[in-house]
Amino acid sequence: MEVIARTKERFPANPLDDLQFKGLQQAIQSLNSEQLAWASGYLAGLVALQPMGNEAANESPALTILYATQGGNARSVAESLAVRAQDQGYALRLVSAENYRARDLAKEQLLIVVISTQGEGEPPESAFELFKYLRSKKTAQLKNLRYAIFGLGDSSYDHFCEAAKELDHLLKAQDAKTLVKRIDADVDFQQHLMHWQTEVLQSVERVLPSDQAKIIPILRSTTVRHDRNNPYQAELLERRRITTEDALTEIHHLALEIDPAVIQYQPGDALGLFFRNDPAQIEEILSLTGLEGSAQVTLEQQNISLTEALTDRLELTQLHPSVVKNWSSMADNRDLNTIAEDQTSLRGFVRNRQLIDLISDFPTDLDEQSLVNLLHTQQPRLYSIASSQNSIEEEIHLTVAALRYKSHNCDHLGGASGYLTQRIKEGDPLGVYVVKNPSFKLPQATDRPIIMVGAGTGIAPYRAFLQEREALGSTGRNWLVLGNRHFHRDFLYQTDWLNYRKSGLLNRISLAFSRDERERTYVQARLYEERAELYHWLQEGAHLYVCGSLEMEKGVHHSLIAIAQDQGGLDEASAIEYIESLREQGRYQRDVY
Amino acid sequence: MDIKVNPNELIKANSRYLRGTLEQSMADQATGALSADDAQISKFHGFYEQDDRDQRQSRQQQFLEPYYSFMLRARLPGGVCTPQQWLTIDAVGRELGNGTIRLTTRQTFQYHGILKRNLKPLIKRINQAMIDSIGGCGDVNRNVLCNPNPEHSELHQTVHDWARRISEHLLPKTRAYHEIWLDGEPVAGGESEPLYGETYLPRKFKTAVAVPPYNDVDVYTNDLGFVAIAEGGHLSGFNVLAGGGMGATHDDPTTFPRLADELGFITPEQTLAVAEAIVAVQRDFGDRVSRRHARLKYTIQRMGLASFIDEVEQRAGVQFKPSHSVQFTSQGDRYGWVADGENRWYLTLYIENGRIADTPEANLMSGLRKIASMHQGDFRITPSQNLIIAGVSARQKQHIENIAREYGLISNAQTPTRLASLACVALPTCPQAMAEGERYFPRFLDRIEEIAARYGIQQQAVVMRMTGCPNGCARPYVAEIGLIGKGPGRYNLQLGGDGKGLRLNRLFRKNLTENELLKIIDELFHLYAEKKLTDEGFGDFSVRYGLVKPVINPAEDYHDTP
Repeated sequence: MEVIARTKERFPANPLDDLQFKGLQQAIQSLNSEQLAWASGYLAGLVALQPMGNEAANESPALTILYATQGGNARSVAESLAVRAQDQGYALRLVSAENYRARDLAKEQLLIVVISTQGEGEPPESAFELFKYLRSKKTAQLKNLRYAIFGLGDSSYDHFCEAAKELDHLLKAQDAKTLVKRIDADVDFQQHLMHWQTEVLQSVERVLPSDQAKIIPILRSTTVRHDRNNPYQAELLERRRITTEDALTEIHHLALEIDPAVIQYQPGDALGLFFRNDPAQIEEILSLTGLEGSAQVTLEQQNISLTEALTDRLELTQLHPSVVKNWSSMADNRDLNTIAEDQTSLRGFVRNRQLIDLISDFPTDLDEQSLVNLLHTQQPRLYSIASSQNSIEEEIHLTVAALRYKSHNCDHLGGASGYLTQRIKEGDPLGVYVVKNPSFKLPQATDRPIIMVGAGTGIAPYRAFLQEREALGSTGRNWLVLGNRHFHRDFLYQTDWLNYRKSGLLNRISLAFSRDERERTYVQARLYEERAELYHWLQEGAHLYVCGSLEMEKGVHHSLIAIAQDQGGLDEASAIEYIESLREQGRYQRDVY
Repeated sequence: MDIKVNPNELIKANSRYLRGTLEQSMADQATGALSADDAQISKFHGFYEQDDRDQRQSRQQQFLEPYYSFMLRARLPGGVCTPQQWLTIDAVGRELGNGTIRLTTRQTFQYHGILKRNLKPLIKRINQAMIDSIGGCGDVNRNVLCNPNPEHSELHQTVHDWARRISEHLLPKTRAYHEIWLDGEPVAGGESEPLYGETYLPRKFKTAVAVPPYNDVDVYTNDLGFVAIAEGGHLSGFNVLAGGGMGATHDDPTTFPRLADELGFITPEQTLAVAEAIVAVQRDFGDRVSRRHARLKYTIQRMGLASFIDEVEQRAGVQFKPSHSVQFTSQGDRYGWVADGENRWYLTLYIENGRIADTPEANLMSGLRKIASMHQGDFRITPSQNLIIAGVSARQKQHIENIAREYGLISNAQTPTRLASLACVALPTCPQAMAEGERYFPRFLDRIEEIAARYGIQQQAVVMRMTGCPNGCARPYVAEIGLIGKGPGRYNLQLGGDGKGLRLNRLFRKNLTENELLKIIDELFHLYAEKKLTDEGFGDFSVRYGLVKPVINPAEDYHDTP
């Protein structure tokens, strides 16, 4: 991936789309430097023979597939559509939102957008520019545009698929036409996918028959790609608890072994992973329902035992509203029915409950297969990677907090975090795949100063950042702003930071331990205390990163606006604009969950 | 010549009269520790950086630095404090320390487990109660010991005054302490340290004042000793002693414990001049290359006693008179009530290991707080880590005794040996410790008591002292039985002290496990019970019977085999 990074740096306006670029990379990956030099001459000669831009495939693409992804799902949906469209011979452009020039919308004829929603109904970071353009008053009319939107979301949150809805609304407002009806897909989006793709392609065919479309040669990747449909089996090398026994949160450090020839990642990327559900909980489910674990069930056209389905394939810990609804129709319990009828109370209900609570509180008769049919398949969980491949080539490190909560007098443990902190043993395999996070990346210019703000396990990517900067010998200054609860109990990776400070890599470290003093102090307060220094760094071109909970991010954002007012002598509106401008320049990046 | 001055000397020299970078170290939130240099300088301010050694390994696994905290030792000349001061000492220990108060063999108290952020508030609080910690540790004169003699209150008053004046006189003059901890105004240049100079002393320096016949301060184990000579209940002067010291290094024959030499007699008004001259000679002649050989005892050994005395007399402008003859009869405390001639009462409490805490067994801390809130006299910490409730009126005597009994401060359960014995702090906090001290000693004594009972000598006091390392905080080299930590669970066994602090003991067996120790002590007690003369103490017996040869001149013969 380094090739991409450097190339983009030298040629900021990369005119290739993702597929073209990937094809180019595949074509040249085996060339040595002498061969590359020859090839560059050859390509330059071709340019000289052709009038500039005449035949370029993306000059007026028949079809553009745009994705704005957070966890990688939107990208995989977009990619699979692109593959099917190419099979039908369409010249198309597949592009991630952060590489898309919003003004090009006016030139589009057919636009398919796959977009997820983050936080409180916001679009993913990568689509920030696009939305800003569409929300502004400068937007061009889009009369010639036909579009389709596939929205990804999770109906257990408020503002379900809000980004997709807003985009739909914004495009309509500019007179763009709907190609097919918008899909608001829930966590089980796979089930809508084939149908939607077929519908989209049929509509495209009607508007733009494929015999009129440019036929392009199809480049097929020969390397095996690991994604959520084909996870890589990594081996757990080590797991250790890195908070003390008396810490309020149990946090573990995990090291996974990977083959660097197959799995590549960059600092800021996340790791998607599948986990095994708790056998004790499965026992309890079986005993409460009276179902047989050894009974054979059918799941995705496979015959397996119920126990196996519950252990490895089905979602037991993140209770989904649709599961509650379906359960209520079977259980026919008045209380549950009332809950299921109201979206708000349904969301409140699922927030702190797992399947086991539903089964024990609202018993009903069902057979093995109906239980399987009722449940969703397991959703992979994403964790920020806490290591740099340039530093530790064959490993991926994760920082995992055990999610524990008490709800209606029962102790609950998170599904993935429970597996990763309590049950997985050294040597066990774990199905993983890398989820690129292009909107949380170190600056290309290695001499740029960076400010890293994080709380709790939100500091994980900064360990990767600093490892990377150490491995590359980056000269930019580094400032770490960390928060957690107790200095002595949960100062995550303290000795790493102290070593980096000693070696001179880490120039400044600021800390907020909220429970050490009577008055609770958080990172945003610490930032404001050190506002003169912070503003000074920003004026010197520092990139600012924020990783952690939504709530923390909000606090930090307010603090930044206040700092810009105080230090820059700006009024509130200008201060907000200043912070927004940092975002536009890619100097204010966030990874929030 | 290729001699490198000890790195500590450079740290002191560069510290701007003990300021170092302490303020930056205190402000650094990323670590609970100080910078390495500041951890040396901090000792002069009374506190040591320590870490919980029990947690070291697990925290390393957790990417966490060691659990750093600080031990702060106050300056409390002669161990005397008022009940009001005690209430502050108690509250600070509960609120800013680890909830305990540790009485020490230097007649002061120390706090353990102070977190870095609590240091400044703690130092402020004790200073508000007129107690400071200047020179609690470090290469200066430490807390001055003074016999807390309860029986002659007037003589005690006079002698204690001298102890206090010696302590004040030998204090560093730098304003660093006031600037850093008490928000004093910074000094605008031109500061100087007339006695110590910018490198202070080569090593720690200990001073004690004894009132015969009690040698509870172990006066011969100090760098500088004053033995009060009284005539008709009034102080007529002091015998001056110099060159005592306990510390040694395992298996290094160039190091040894040593008892102080007698320099001669002086009158009271010559006291400060002589004390200052001795400190100055040590400042100028002490070894600044090897800290192992930097105490005054090695300086005198090297100079020769006669030249040392010449140098001191010249600098002090004093001629030593011949020493008065004195008799010491014991080195420990006497427990229970005694009265002075003026109808005031003194209650000496046995505090196991000097550790004052509220535990499931006894709420000593609460009991003392209750006593302090009604007591009219003062408190005196003894050199054996015990506590005297001093100057109690006849009217309050019974009331105080009732409280003491209610809170377990008085118990009749201890054997004479336990009451005569000492252990240092050692693990888990002391960075020097090689083996356990106070955490283990009471259990070890249980076993010793069983053995003593087996041979019918349970009413015989044997002075036993255990330390976790050879530095000698509990003065193990003048015990009848010394146990000196060698490694985890292993001790050197020393025999031959005389029970009065006038004779060094000698290594008898090396590197023993608990079982080996108990087996040997069983044999020795058996032998002692059979062969001892009437009224012969165990230490005297072990020398007379030839178990060990007495130490005559430690520089020459300390490392001889028994």
